[in-house]
Amino acid sequence: MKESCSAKSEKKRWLRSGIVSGLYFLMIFIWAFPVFWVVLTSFKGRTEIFTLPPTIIFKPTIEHYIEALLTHDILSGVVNSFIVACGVTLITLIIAVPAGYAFSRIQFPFRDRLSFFALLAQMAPPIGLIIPCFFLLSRIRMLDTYTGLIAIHMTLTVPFSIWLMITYFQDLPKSLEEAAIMDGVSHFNMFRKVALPNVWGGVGVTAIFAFIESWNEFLYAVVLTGSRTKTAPVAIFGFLAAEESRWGPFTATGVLIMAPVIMVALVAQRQIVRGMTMGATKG
Amino acid sequence: MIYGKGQKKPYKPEYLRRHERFGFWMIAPSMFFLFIMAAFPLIILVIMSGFQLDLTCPAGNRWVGLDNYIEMMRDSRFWHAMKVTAIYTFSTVLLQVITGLALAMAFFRSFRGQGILRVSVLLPMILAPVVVGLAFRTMIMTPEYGILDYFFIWLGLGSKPWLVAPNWALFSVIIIHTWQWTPFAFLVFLASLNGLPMEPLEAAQLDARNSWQRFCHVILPMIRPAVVIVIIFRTMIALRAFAAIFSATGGGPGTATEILNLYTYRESFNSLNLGYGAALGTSLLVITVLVSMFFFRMRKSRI
Amino acid sequence: MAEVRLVNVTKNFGKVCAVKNFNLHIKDGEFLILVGPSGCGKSTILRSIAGLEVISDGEIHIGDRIVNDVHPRDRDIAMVFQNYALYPHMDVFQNMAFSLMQKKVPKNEINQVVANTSKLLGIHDLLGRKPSQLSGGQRQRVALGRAIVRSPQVFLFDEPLSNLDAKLRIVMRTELLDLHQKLKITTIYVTHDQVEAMTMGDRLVVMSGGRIRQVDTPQNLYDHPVNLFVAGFIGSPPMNFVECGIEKAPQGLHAKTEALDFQIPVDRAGGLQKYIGRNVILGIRPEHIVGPLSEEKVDKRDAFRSVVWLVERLGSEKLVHLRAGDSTLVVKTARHADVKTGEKATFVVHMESAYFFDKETEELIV
Repeated sequence: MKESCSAKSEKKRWLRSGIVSGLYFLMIFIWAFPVFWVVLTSFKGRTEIFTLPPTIIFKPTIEHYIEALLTHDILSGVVNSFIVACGVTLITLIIAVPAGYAFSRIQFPFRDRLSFFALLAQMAPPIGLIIPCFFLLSRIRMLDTYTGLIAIHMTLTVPFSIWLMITYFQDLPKSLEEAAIMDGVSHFNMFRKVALPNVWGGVGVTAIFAFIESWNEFLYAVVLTGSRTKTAPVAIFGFLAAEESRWGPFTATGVLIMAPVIMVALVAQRQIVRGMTMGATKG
Repeated sequence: MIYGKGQKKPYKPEYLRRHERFGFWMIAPSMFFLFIMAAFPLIILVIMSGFQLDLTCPAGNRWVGLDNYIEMMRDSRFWHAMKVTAIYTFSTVLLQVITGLALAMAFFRSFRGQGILRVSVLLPMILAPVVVGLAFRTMIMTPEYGILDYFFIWLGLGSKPWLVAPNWALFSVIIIHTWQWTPFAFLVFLASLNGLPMEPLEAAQLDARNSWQRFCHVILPMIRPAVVIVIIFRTMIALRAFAAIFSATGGGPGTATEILNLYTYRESFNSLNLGYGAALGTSLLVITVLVSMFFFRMRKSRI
Repeated sequence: MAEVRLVNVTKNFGKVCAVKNFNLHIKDGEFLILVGPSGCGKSTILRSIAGLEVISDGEIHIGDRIVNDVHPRDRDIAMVFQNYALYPHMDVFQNMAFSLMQKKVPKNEINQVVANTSKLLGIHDLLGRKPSQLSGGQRQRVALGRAIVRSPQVFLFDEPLSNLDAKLRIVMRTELLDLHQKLKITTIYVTHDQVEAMTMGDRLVVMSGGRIRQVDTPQNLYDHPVNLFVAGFIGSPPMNFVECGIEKAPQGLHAKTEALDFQIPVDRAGGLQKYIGRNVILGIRPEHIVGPLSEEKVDKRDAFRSVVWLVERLGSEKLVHLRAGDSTLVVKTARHADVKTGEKATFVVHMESAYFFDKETEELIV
């Protein structure tokens, strides 16, 4: 930035960086504070929670966590969420990663029409899918099953995963593939031994997105699950709806739901941000 | 040109064709899946909308053709839902874009500390919307005990009926959605601004009369593609928003925050009137398709 | 080892024709270089021989078979890429052994071959390292090793030295030539650098715009270019070109511009008779203009006096840029020559070494 010598703009710059710093802290506060507050509350004793003015220093307790986990619903809810999310992530990767490879590298028949179709599939509003799926699944008695929920969750994860993997595969230099052609790889080995080993990072990010998407999902879960396969988001909703003032166990459960995702995100934050913004900057 | 026997297309050696067939098999499972789980159900949805399908009195279930749609046109709750959807979508997208852009402009030249900012800003987006809605309903917007309300009381502005009064409720869910998703716009714009070449911007500093001019005439046109993408993405998400509103207000009070999505849900799964619900769902589908076609056209002609 | 023949090869990319009716015969064991500016089609030809591009028309023969339909791996060739294209996730040994593993060659044989090749290239102690841990030159050697291990009939090189710095490039050049001497495998090499081409090739194929402009040994290309393009492309610094008119004078024919006037030697005059009164392009290499000379020493024929516009000092010699009317001439002088920018100096053109090109067809006249 070009320096200006006049005192007036010097003062202006000082003011400007002051505003920016203030904005910086304000942003962190606005977006991090609510989460922080939920976590904090989960450790407050029953009466402490409803003390006014709200306190930040207090004697922490884990009674709410214990209570939350002992409420049968919530523990099994977390376990179910985990089962479903793992299933979704695994199967999504199995079908989306090869698809991403093929779309990015191979001129197969109907390619353009199919990529457009994948784009369209992403546009379907969830409520539009859940009504027929609910109806059909109830007819074949597949409500309250893991399979049903995993399958419908995948409609959320597969199109985006294919798209993400395409961008990762596209980053590989073409000459790598050509050298492998000359070296005589079979089609499948080209994918398995040449392309795939170089995109494991991308696969990891895709897995993270798919897991988070499934873990947090609510609408499909609330319609399709019953007492057996109820996932954590459904469990927490039911809990609060029934006992509106039980903020303690509620925040504890909330933390249980948020924690895994936050931990994963901290580790892979760069890649997650990159994955999210990539579509926008590459257009 | 070499042409194979009877072929109209240019010649392709067998090994290339085998490679292409292989590629086809690689995408087959995912395409098959999407067809069954996404395309097929939508067809069923439209078909269902032509039926009277009420699970609470199954005796009356039969084909009714377009009756559900006719009823929909006369349904004031439907039109109310359309209005709420329009307000909700428009407000959230506008707020996200303006706030995100303003913040990105403030930060894009200072690189110090962008790491911590990125993490805090990422946080809202990875939380389960249902938890966000519930948290706002309890921890933040509860009269007196919610920190936001407490803050307002502390400021002397008094307690507000955040989720209780109709207009306030709509306002609050808009705030909740904007809170959760503005970081997306912020990050995209930040990335876009950081990727701009410095020279035109520096030249503009000398040419333009003031910063606002420079912003409007130089920076904005340069990041136009990013703005368009953000608008498209966020509009699509706003149309299908569910969990946060559902958990914060349930669509209420009454139908104050009942966007079309929510109305469809309540009709289908609370009232168990699947036929009519399917008609509402189909309308939402049609609206989604029209909106994306509109954006698609806009992108094609302007780029 | 085998010969390679291209018969009427044409390659179109959609509507764009990259190469048209290309014919070439590469002899067994020869080091042939395809050279030309970017976009002239040389890489296209190389990749077509490799099978990475499918040609639109024509035939490619390797050895005694037509390989149009043959998969690249079955063509018995090996290719070295400009950016080496080493597998980043495999170490050097695996990179070199990869092709053999695909062919299911027994393990001890693989170890043997890789060991021998790596010793030949001096990378034997790098076998456990990954490409990211190697320098540019080392990576280049691994890429070479990967090609050699396949015992191909033909080597294909796609600008392999472009990514190396100048010094390393010169070292690698001699090593490649040395290797060629040892292994005697037919080699087809692509480069845009004519100096590289001149020092390395048995024969050069000069290309531009998808066509062959001339095929010959380096020396012949230098001494006897058949058209303007080859004359200007080969040789560094490049040949000087001046557009001048042919006029008849009592002593014979003259080549004239407004600032210059040279007498055309008698043995050339015959071929230029047709061009009297018209313009041709005179080509003269920098080393065939001599000077600076003092005014008295020179006999006025073929001498000219002009302003020194720029002097480039190369250490061993100087390159002097002269302004004569509209034209600029570059001259090579001895390193202590007395020339100063802005001053006038006298030079003599050795017209026996001049070339004359038709202005429209760009072909050599005489």
